[in-house]
Amino acid sequence: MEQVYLTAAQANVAHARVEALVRDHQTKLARYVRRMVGDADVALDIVQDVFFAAYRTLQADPARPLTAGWLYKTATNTSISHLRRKKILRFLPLDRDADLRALRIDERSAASIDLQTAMHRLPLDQASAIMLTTYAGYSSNEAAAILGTSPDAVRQRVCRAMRTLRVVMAESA
Amino acid sequence: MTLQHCDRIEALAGAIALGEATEEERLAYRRHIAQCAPCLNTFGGEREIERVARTVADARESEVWEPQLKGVSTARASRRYRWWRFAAAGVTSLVLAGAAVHALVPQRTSVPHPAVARVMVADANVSRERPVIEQRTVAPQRPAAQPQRGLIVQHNIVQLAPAAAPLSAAPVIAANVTPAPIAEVTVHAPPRQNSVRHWSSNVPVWRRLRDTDTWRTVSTTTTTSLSQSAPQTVTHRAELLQVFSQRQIREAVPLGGETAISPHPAMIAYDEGAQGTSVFQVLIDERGVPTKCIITKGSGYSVLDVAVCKAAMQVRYSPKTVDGRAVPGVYNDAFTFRMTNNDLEGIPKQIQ
Repeated sequence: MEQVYLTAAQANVAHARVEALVRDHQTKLARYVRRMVGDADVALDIVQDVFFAAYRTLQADPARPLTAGWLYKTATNTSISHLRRKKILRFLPLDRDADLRALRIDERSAASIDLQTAMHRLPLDQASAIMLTTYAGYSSNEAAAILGTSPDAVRQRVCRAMRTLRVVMAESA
Repeated sequence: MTLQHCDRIEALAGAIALGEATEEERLAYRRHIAQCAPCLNTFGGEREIERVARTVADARESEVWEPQLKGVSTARASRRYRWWRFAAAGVTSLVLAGAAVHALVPQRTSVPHPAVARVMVADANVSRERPVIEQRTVAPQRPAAQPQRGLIVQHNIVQLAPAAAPLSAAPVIAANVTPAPIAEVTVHAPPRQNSVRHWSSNVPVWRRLRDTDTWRTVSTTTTTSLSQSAPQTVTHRAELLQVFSQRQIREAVPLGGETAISPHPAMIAYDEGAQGTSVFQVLIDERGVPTKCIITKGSGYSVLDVAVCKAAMQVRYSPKTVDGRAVPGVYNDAFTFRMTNNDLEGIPKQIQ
């Protein structure tokens, strides 16, 4: 990796901005990634990678505007890369409680379990679309900018993901 | 409905789920699912879409996990990056050897950068001081049972009965008497001036009350409630036609009596609160086989109309006969669907 040497002032700016990003977004971002990958430990790993990536980016250019959208985009891409590597494991349900591993005991409401079960069945593009919109709270336009697609495509993916979720809810009812 | 339209409908349903749909888009979606039963069954109505979307919001609000990035470096080193422990020893020695530059360059080790680590520690302290609300529930929490919704089906029956004339007035056909001109009577051509509407139905109910008429028509309505989970049975009386005439005409009636036509709307009808009156007409050939079902007045929900026609086409009929000779005929009937809750009054019978 190319090493960038900063002045002390630039380093202070980068530190301060990363501090603010971590403080403001670590909880929401970790919950989001945990839903995506289905494992709390892996989610923390990925979130840390995301913040390190943010730090490296700010190190190279302290004045660069880094928003929450950038963090979610990086987290989504990192999660998708992780899930692609673990794809074989996802389709081998050796452990029946695999879906619940990501959740704490006091989070296991019916809605929470249904959502996590559906997330394991969804294709990656639909999973990221529904999580960015209904879970992270972005509009379809913002989610389209994050995912690099059109708003209508995001809405279509959300609709298809909802179909799967509806099936899961009907099965568990 | 072309496939292209249905593709567009997916985007509309997604917009409704995200709460971004405009009133025009909602109207377009409503119009589409009223005509396209596969889309209604696949995506559900607006209420169904919003219910599923609410599940995601409920799951998000139930989260209590407060991640602490401080512990990440330890767990990560022990699980995924164990070999970094050895590398970390070397890196630490280099750091101790002392270049200030090292402090500014982030190392990809299990030890976070001092700036990030400081924030993490500070955040962890805040988390420890924060009061934690304990919500210990092991079993999955199900929402409270909603009052079961039922579907009331009213079967409007057009009945043509003989007038209250003495039996002795019946014409006697003698060999040397020329029969009177035959009056053709059809069920579905009521005199307009006498038509009234039943209080609970859109179907005109018509009567001829003058005693001088050779026939009169009355209408009776039987009501049945369908529950969402129970097997559904519809009780009704079949159309009855008796014409006091010299020519013996018997209209087509369904075989099997009162429970012959029993529409079973899809479950989506319950969710959407579908209600309305489906008036239909079945064309029956001389063998009693239904050849075509026509919805003469739709209920507004294709799922109800489809259920009615499907039930009507599954029934065998006794064909229309004129003087004992079978001829093609028409059977007219109507079903009224009305949504209700179980705790409301007016349900005549709850089927278990």
